[in-house]
Amino acid sequence: MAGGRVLHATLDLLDRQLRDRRFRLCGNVDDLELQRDPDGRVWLTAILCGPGILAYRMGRRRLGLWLEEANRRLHDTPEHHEPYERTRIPIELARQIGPAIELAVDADDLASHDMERWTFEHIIRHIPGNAARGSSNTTPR
Amino acid sequence: MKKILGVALGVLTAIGGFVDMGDLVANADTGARFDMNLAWVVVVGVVGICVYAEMSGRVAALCGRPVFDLVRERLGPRFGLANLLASFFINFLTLTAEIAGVALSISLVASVDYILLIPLVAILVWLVCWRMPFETMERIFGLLGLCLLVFAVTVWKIGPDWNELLGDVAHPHVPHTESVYSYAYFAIALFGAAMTPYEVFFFSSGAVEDGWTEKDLTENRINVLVGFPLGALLSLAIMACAHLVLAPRNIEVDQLSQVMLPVASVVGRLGLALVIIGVFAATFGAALETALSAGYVVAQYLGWPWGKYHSPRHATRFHVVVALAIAGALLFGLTGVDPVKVTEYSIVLSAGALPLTYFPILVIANDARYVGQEHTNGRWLNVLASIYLVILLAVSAATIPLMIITKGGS
Repeated sequence: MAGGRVLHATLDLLDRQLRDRRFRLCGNVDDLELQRDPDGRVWLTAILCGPGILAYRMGRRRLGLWLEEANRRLHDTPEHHEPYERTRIPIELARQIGPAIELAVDADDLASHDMERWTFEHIIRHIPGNAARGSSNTTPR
Repeated sequence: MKKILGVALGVLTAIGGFVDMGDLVANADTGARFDMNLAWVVVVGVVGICVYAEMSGRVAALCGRPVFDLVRERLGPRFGLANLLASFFINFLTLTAEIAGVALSISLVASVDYILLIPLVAILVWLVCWRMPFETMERIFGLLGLCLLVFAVTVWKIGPDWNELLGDVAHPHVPHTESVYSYAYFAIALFGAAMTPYEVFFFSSGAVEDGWTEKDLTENRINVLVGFPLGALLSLAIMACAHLVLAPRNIEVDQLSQVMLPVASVVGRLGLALVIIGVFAATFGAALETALSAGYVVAQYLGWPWGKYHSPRHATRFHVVVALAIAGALLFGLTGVDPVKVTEYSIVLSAGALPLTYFPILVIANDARYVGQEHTNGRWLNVLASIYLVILLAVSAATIPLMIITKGGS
């Protein structure tokens, strides 16, 4: 774990926008997972992101757990074979840390994207014109 | 032609901020009650919004991060959430007023009670949010809103004593018919209208929607320097019309139709037609601005995909929030609530939340990791922006007490 980069967690990481491997917006850095090595140094190991995590960080623990559980039930998440859990993104999968954080994951594998998909399946899909692009000249950044 | 259309975002943003439903009436009311003694506030306000809108557009162009992203990043989730709730509520009130305003402007031509037109207007607003490309939208409503320039033509045709008119602007005093408190209250309302937060939400998100990059920094500056002063000019022209035509006849303004009176009496039929089209476009534009901003702020706070540059199926929650905001505004509007009062309160309330929106913009515009070393604020810009931050803090502290003392400016 030598040669880690020094970042100011609150200023450089927390609450930043996340983007997936296809540059889709897929949640914010809701919390961070830190681990202490035997020498007492603290390392950043993962980005946490998804329903309930922000509430948990803000001290609303019961609300946070409830949101997480509700999201799990609503989406009946299948077993997945990704190297990460759906709300925990190992820091190795952060490709670039800047004004936004680029991830080497697919938004569809993240819990933060579950509601987006649910909304599509249950609402947006039934409204005509949902596939039309609103603008022709812009690529998502 | 392309150059002219390029400023559509700035023009639409400014029209939605300066001359939307509530401001149309508030400007005319101010002109009728205080003559031009409050015009200086509009000038102070337009400099402030130019300073901050330029920064927000620059940040959005350079790193693709719109204002409400920055709000959560720099204020943290707690203050960010407070700002989100306040901004969303203010947005919602304004949206209600704008939908009613569009209905009122149609009812002037269609002679149908405006309440009956509210559902139709709400559906139209939603359809534009759902289907119309962002660029088309900003061009149509930005350019049609320019019909309001007929107010400036009216002032010019009246041919007032310019020395006297400008004298009031340069040497303002409180008219003896009004108290100091109501003078201050109206000053805050005008300042709040110039610097309403949804202008920077919309402008910076629009910069991302239009795909601005480093190449577009000049375009950003032109949009700001053309759009907002134009909005201010319209606002002042409406004020001057009321001062010149309505004040001598002791007409107090509390309805949209009274705002148009000076134009109709001086320029005649063509003027009236233009002003009705202008009011329709301005209120419709403001309705779009606030409806989309409702979606922008929620989606950006929570990190969802947002924007009209995606198809709705790729920004699903964003479109649901926009639709819910419009539906809520429709129901609230159907209760027959007075749209003028609603915007006046929402503007004054928004003055209370201003620092929470503008402070993060100033911080990020100085952060080289976001905008690059060569694009951070210069020293004089920082001095100016800091002065405005102090003004914003003072205004936000004075808002609620003044609202209580003056009983809402009556």
